[in-house]
Amino acid sequence: MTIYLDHNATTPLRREVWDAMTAVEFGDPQRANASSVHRLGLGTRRHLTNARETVAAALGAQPADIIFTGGGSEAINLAIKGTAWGRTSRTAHHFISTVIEHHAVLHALDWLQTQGHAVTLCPVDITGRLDPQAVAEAITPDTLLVSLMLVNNEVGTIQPVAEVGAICRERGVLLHVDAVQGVGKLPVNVEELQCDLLSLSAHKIQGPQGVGALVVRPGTPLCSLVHGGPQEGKLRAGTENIAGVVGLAEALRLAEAEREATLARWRELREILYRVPRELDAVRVNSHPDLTLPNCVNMTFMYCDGMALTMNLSMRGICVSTSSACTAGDLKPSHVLKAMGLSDMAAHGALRISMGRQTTAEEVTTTVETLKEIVTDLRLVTKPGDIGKCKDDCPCFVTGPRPTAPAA
Amino acid sequence: MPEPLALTLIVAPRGCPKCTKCRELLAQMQERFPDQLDCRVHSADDPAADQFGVVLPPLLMVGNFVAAMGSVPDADKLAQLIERKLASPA
Repeated sequence: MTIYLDHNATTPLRREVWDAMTAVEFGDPQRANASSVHRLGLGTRRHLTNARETVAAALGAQPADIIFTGGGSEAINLAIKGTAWGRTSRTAHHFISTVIEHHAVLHALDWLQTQGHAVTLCPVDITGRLDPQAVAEAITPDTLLVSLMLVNNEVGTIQPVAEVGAICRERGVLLHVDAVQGVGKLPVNVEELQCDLLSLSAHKIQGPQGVGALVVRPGTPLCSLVHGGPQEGKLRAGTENIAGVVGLAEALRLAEAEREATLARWRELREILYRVPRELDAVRVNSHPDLTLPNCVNMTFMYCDGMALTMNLSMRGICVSTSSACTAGDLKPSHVLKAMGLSDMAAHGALRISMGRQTTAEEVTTTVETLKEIVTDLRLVTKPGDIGKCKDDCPCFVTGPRPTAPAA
Repeated sequence: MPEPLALTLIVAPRGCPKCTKCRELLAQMQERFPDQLDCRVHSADDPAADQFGVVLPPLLMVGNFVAAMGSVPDADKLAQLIERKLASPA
């Protein structure tokens, strides 16, 4: 028996998506190069056009705004480096983002800094939420782009993207939204978010790995990372991955059709997961209590090592993550949890449990019971004498500032 | 005579003081629980360690339970866990 609760890392391909992909790849007439002018090429181009229309419709964009890429990270790099290289003003060289972005954003910005660009990373509160005012204050006359994730991949916290979008529009600054964890799970409309660029990935919504897209608002100055043929509006050269983009479109169409029902089920299942902090001492939920995508719960188990916990769960057939998959081989504490103010000890004891469309109540209940057993045994070895005395305000949980209470 | 409880230690190939301490701990446990433990030590680059995936040595397993990873457990607490596992083998 395997219980897979690592859907923020990747999701299993849906059978319907695979069927749509194989229908293109092995169908009759055969798949050709979408740029070819013969009959087969035109037929293949039709698949590409249909996929572009489906993705655009799901996001409130126009088909011409969709640039298919080789995944979410490529879309993000195109958005960030593409605006740096495509900028029309010589002075606009300042980028703003947050400390809890995915490494695809942070490392792209690190690299831009080595090329002479300036970067400001805004802080987040203890739940991983950005204050839009921090972005407003960081904007300078030299600011070119703000890059902000819609949903954090490690804690699931939803960011106030529309508010930041309004600020960016007013100040004439471009906004890129990393919506990789949000598309297909939350309502996403590029007009409502007031963004200029939006990245997404197929494999987070039961589509194929290695396919993504960047939505580009008409008129956004952008330079291609890959030069060659005129594919994707001259913004991404190379023969298109037809089966992949068909898979992306079908996965997105299905996810959108089932979104409300899936969200409702995740909310119910999350209540089962919330039994853990109630039934075990010294467990802290790191995700925002309300403004979180309900498929994801990030919890710290004090006096436990998250890696040891993950491994014990894995040996019992339960797959979860200590942090984002991209840092799973890297045993440094999660940069997201550290930026939220957790101590090294608390960050090392964190688990991310992320549910998928097909996750069942039985699976979640089994996980809760197994977690309780493993944590109890682990604490036999690791717990200090004061276990159970820690509460959320214990200084050992966090080293950063506590969140201030919202104004009445 | 019940089956001995397996204690498996995965150590770094070289230069890990925590791994050395864990080896000593294993020897202590063998003294505390004579004839009840089956202690094995594997280097992290040994194919036998592959089944554990990404690990931070020292990795100490009591039966099928990962008791510690990257740290040296307290001897008395480890003994407590071993007693518990011996009392109720999985």
